[in-house]
Amino acid sequence: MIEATIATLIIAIILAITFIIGILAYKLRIKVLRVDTYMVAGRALGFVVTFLNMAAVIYSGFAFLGASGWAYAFGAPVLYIWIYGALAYTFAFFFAPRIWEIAKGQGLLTQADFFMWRYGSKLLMVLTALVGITFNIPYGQLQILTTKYVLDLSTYGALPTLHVAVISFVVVMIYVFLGGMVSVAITNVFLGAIMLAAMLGGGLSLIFYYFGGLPGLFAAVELASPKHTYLWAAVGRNSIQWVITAAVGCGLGFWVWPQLAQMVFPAKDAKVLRRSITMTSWYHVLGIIWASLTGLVALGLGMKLAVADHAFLALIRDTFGPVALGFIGAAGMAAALSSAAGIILTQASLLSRNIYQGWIKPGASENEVILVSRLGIVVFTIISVILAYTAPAYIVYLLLVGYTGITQMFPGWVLGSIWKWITREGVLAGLIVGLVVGVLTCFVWPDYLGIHSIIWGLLFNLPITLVVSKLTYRGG
Amino acid sequence: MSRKTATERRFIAVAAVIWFMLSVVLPVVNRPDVHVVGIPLLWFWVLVWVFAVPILLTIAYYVLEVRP
Repeated sequence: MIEATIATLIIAIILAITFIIGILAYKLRIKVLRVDTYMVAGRALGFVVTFLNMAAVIYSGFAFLGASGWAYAFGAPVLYIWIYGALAYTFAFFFAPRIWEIAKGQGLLTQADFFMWRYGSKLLMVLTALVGITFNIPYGQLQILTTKYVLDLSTYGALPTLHVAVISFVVVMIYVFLGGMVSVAITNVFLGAIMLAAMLGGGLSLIFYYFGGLPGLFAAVELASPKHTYLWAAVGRNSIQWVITAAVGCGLGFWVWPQLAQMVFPAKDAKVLRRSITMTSWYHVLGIIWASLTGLVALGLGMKLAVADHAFLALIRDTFGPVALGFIGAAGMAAALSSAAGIILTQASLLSRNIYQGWIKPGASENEVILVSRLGIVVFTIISVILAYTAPAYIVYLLLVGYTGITQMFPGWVLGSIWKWITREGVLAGLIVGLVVGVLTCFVWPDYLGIHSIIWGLLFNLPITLVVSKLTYRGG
Repeated sequence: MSRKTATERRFIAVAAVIWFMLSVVLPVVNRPDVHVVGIPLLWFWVLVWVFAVPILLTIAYYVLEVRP
């Protein structure tokens, strides 16, 4: 019981500090609340805030616990997570400053704003806003469930964890509601720093404590389960072709997620943005790699886990006791809640800026847009909470198809920012066909031939976008 | 083409090499019987190239933005 009290107390303190920072950021940093302050922090964020805000939103609770669980359950296929992050940062280093320049010059606040500006199409703007909102719904709900997993282990079963997870989620949404991006970004500095310390410190300490380093770890894993050390599956998920296509597909789709677009816009200049992306790539290799290797530590030690995603926290609890567990548990919760904050704010921004102001009521005032954003935060929070309690089966389907669906915006988002001859007809045709093929290769022929559904979608989407654009481009 | 753009293109070429090493080459290094410093070749290969990314970006940031 005393262990549960210590770990729970640490988690509660960190949640309380997060809440206070969020509220103080709103009270002290916002003089006049404008739409651009609420959605992109007035494009005034410096290097440290941009970097840690980006990292905290990117690395969700699922990445924090799921990567080690994946390594524990399957071994080498976890490498796709290492790879796609690395690919995504090399891409963003060259691409993101270009998008930032456009956003700054044209006053864009959301990703869907870009589609309106670039293609002059309300239909495309509303469609991309709806895609961004819909495919993010399961991610909001997932963050509540991840917080529950963290609390299940950290409180040693002493608390009704789903209720506590929901309360934590609502607490975070209060400061998101009030301060928007300013509160999200400043609290994410605190949460992002805790997450990095936990992933690097927790991962390295477990590896060195038990095995003295990576060679010892791999020797133990090869003894316990040799097939975990290489890609052995010939077909289907986790086969070598799946790992390659998943890594490349997710690497391409990474910066297409609307919440990541919205984390790019608040940087105060392109140089700050490049520096932040460089540091986030360091965050990737210093964080997620070592957190995911804890799955192999559990395997090497012969631990029998009922839930693979418990690997990291169960090891910390059994090895270092309740204080360390409280800290790592708080970091896991931080990862979940910081991502949830970014996701819900982005959904609310797409709703108010692109669906309400862009489509339903074009003449809406700044105050109205902020009001609709805040209503959106309330609505999406309620949806996430209801789904967390009821968890209907379709949520799993949305999650499966999420990355595939979002990545189909890649041609319009990326190629459209580079080549002027990409047209709205081409983007629309490619997007619709890519979504249909993506859904089919998710559910009807799942990852057909072991190739990830993202790639199947793009294989149809890209040529259609290019050919239709060539045919419909009129110049100018 | 400006000097900065030309330099940026060289870095994009190096990034393309990293993409190649982290995707196309994986079947070649997926060898359970080969180890480098006690680490299976596949894991060692991915570790090296994944770490190459922040190193490349740090150099690119310095060359393109700090001392252009």
